Amino acid sequence: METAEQALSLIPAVYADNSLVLEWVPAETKAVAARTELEHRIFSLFEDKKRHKFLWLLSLGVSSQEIPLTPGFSFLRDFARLFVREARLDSAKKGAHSSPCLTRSMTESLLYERPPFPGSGRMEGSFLSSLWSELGGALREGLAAFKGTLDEYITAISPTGSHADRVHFHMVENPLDVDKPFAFLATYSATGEAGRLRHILLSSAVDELGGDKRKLLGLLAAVRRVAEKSAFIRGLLESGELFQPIGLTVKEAHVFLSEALDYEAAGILCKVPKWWNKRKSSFILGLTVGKTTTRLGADALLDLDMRILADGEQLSLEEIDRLLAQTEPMAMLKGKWVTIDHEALLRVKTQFEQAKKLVAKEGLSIKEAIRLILDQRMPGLGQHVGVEVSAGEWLESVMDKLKNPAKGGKQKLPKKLSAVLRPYQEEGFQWLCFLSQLGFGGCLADDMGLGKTVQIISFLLARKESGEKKPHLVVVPTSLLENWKNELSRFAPTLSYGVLHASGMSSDEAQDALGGLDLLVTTYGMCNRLPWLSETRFDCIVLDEAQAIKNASTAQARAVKKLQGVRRFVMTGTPVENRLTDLWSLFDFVNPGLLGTSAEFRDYLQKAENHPGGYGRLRQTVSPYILRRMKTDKNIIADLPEKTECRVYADLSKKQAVLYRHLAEKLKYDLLRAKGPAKRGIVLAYIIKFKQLCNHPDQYAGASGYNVDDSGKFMRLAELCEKIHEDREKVLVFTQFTEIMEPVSDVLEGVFGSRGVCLSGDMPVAKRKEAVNRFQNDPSVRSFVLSVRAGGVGLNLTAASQVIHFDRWWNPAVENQATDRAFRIGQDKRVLVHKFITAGTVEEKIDKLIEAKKALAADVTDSAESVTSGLSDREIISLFSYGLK
Amino acid sequence: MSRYGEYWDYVSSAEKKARAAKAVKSLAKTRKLAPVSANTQDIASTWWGRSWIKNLVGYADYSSRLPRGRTYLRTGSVIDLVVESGRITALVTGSQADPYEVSITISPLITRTHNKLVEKCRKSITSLSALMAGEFPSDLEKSFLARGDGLFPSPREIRFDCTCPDWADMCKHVAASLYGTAVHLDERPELFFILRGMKVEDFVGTVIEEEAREVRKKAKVKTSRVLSKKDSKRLFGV
Repeated sequence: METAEQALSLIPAVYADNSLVLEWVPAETKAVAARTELEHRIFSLFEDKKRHKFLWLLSLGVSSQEIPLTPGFSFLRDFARLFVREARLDSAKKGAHSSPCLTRSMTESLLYERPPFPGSGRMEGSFLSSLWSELGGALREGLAAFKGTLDEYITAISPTGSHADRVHFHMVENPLDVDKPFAFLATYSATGEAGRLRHILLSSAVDELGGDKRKLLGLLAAVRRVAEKSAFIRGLLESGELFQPIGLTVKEAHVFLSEALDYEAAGILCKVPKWWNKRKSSFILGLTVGKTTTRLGADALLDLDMRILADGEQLSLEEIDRLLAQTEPMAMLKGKWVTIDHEALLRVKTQFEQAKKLVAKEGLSIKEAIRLILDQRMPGLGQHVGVEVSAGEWLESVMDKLKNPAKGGKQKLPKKLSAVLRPYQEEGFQWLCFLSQLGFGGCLADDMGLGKTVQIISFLLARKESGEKKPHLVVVPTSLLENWKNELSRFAPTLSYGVLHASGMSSDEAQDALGGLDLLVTTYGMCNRLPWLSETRFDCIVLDEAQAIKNASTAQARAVKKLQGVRRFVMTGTPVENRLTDLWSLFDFVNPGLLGTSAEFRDYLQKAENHPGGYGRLRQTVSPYILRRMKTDKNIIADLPEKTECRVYADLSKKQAVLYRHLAEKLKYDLLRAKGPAKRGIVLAYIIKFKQLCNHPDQYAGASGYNVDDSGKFMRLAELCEKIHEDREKVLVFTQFTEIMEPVSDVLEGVFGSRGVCLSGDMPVAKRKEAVNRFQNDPSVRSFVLSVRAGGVGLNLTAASQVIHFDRWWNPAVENQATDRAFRIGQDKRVLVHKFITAGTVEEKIDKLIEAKKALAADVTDSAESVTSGLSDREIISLFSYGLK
Repeated sequence: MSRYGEYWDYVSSAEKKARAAKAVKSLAKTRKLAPVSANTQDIASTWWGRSWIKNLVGYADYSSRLPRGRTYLRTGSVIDLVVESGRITALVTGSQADPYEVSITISPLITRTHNKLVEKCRKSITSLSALMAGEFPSDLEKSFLARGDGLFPSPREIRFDCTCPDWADMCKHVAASLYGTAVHLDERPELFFILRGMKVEDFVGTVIEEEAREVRKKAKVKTSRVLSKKDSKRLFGV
């Protein structure tokens, strides 16, 4: 029986109300018999409400140190041992009225040694000292009732104390006797030859010990002590039956078993049948959902199996009725004794009958099934005590596949996909397919830079290739439109898409074209404005940067949730699983109803706060629908190039746009009036001005202030760094303009909460070194702003895992050289490089020109100068014009 | 309205101390002294020491001697005190140059009381190990200190002698010696037994023997549910 079950071990947990609780968790190491026995003993003391609240801790403190325990539990044992040691020293000095004290240095060293366990952070000095005085209370109370010396008491309560020279009570089953199916015997363990224990009858022991007054007194006192406590034993003592082997009725045996802990407290060692210590005497309603299914797919129906269980054994209704009819406190059931709690039995029977009525004949949908597992109760059953819901084989395997995408299905990659997926990306693709096949949505939450978009695009393309006619809808923040356009064209050229946005199709155009499109990309703002979107039936709806709907009460979130799609997926780069309050709104979109109503969920979270197990169950419930890989994962890191580059598009702010158009007009005027070689000088001068304007209007105007909202790039910088901050990473920000290093630093300080360092070309060498040192070694310095020229060579900035090029040099060699500051040959870190580009401006256009050239020749060492040289006036004017199309 | 006795006896504390010191000095040359004194307000700090003091009132025919006895003890007048089996002897300095010799005789516990005590202690057998370890567990208080049936001698079982001229049976020197005994009892509760001509081990041994005899007797009783030897072997292997 023992081996079939999962081995458990005991850990302590400190709850929010500072209560110390013992919990069973799956054991990390193999079960050791001595450990299991000690844990069960301590746990039964812990659960016993009749005794002092902390007798279990005192008892733990006098148990053998040899037995390995979980770190947290072992820490408590050390703590209680310390108490007992001090109590002994103190009582040697002051006699019976000792009160050992916990000194400050003792507290300090205890806190230092404290291992992690749930809530261990709450175990502060004050917690320890109140625990210490509780131990004092437990000892005083126990000692007063015991009436022996401190040492005798300690021996008596030690769960692993010496078994020599002790009185033992044995109780065994005697199946041959129908009327008295149990038998009792009291023995004394005399030390025999070579220290071996010999169990002899108490009366023989009295004869044998005649000469040893002290041992004889120990025996007699133990008998008296236990007789004082228990009327049952007193009766046996008075009749003399205590000194003989006798048969016991079921009632008597139950009295004995219920009092066994009292006997042990009196210093008697009790040997009782194993099933008694392991009893979870309650009867429960066991529900197993999803052993098999009628068919695989979104509309699969799962069976629900219902049983009444007693100690893991299934009972029929007839058996229940038979048990209810009997008056004995225990009954033999399928060869095992169980205790009968009439009240609990009746309750579980009623629940069983109710549940039967509630379950529809045709079975449950997967969603209902999973909800049942989360709730651990049947809706409509009222009180949800005594119900245990578990996943059946089939459902278990489905959930397993969802949690481990590597085990997932083998869907063929779309034929027309023009990208080679990395292994983890293919797993992600399979995961999306599997979820969708089951009728679920999901949340792809991979780290920034791992390529979420390409996984989603592959999935959408696969839907199309499988014959799906309805278009997909992708909703993104405006700043990501450009990225999506790029990646769609690059990875899935066969997927026809339209962009519904000021920079693309108008509402009418999009509505007309929709029938012929595979995919429509739009922004959150548009969803809010165009009601026809929510009236269209899409195939898949994908939200990128789905934090946008984390707050369910916003108009934006409500508009998005009205959209109709067969499947819904969201993408986010923030660790959603850590933000439980945001989780509800995301799941309300992805898998509506899975987490209940928002009020129910809030309620659940509140309860979970006091029960660490509650978070565990929530995590279990949501984890199949969240796929989050981190770039530091061992499996992922091998698949990643050491440097991943991505473009970050910013928009011009209104102020910037006005100034930009004005500047473009001026350029046109100046350019057309200039002659020959002077034109080149003009163009170069204007490039600088445009770059400054794209960075910030105040930089262009030479003003101070640098309001973040006045610059699209500043806003994007803040957004991006929020995410970097979320993962507590470090970032390098390169710019070619010394004058914006301070304003950029200010923005970063606001995000990271601490000031980073700066480095410009005119900095003395000693200061440079100091800045580099601080960035590399001080955990609170999270950002480093430096000019491309100054930081380009000879610096080692490997603490950074994110690099931002705030403005562009347009010379890949120079930019790469700067980026490479974050690398060192052979290091196993991956670096994500963000290149900032203002959409629709000269920045984007030059970037495209260089990309086009790069496509022709791998090694391009172009710069803005060389790109612009050789262009006609008209080409130059169009290069600098502002336009989003 | 001062009483006669108080008038002629009045000596300051300082003088008493000086007298005691002088006597100690001269006597210490010839023999070893065991002086007793009490510095604190309470002469005894344990419950049994205090019980002894409470019990003294029952012996005093002139209770006015008791406070003086206490003062004598505090000023160090009890320059020697020995507790032996059935006997307390003491030297207490007084108004004369030589200290007075005090002798208190206590008769041994009579058999009837002894047996009663044994019977009572069998019920408190759980506390006896503490008694053996030199403590006097409060569980035994009732049994040991019961008037008449306990360890305290009744007035008829105790006799006081003192070489002083005071006609009272219990003069202040006797009273001082009795207080001094409380100080000893505080540290060695087994003196209770010694004073009654007994040893703790013997007493405890008797209790244990009685209890063991009872167990042996009971173990012979056979009731209907006692299992056969065969069954016992099968079930318990004993």
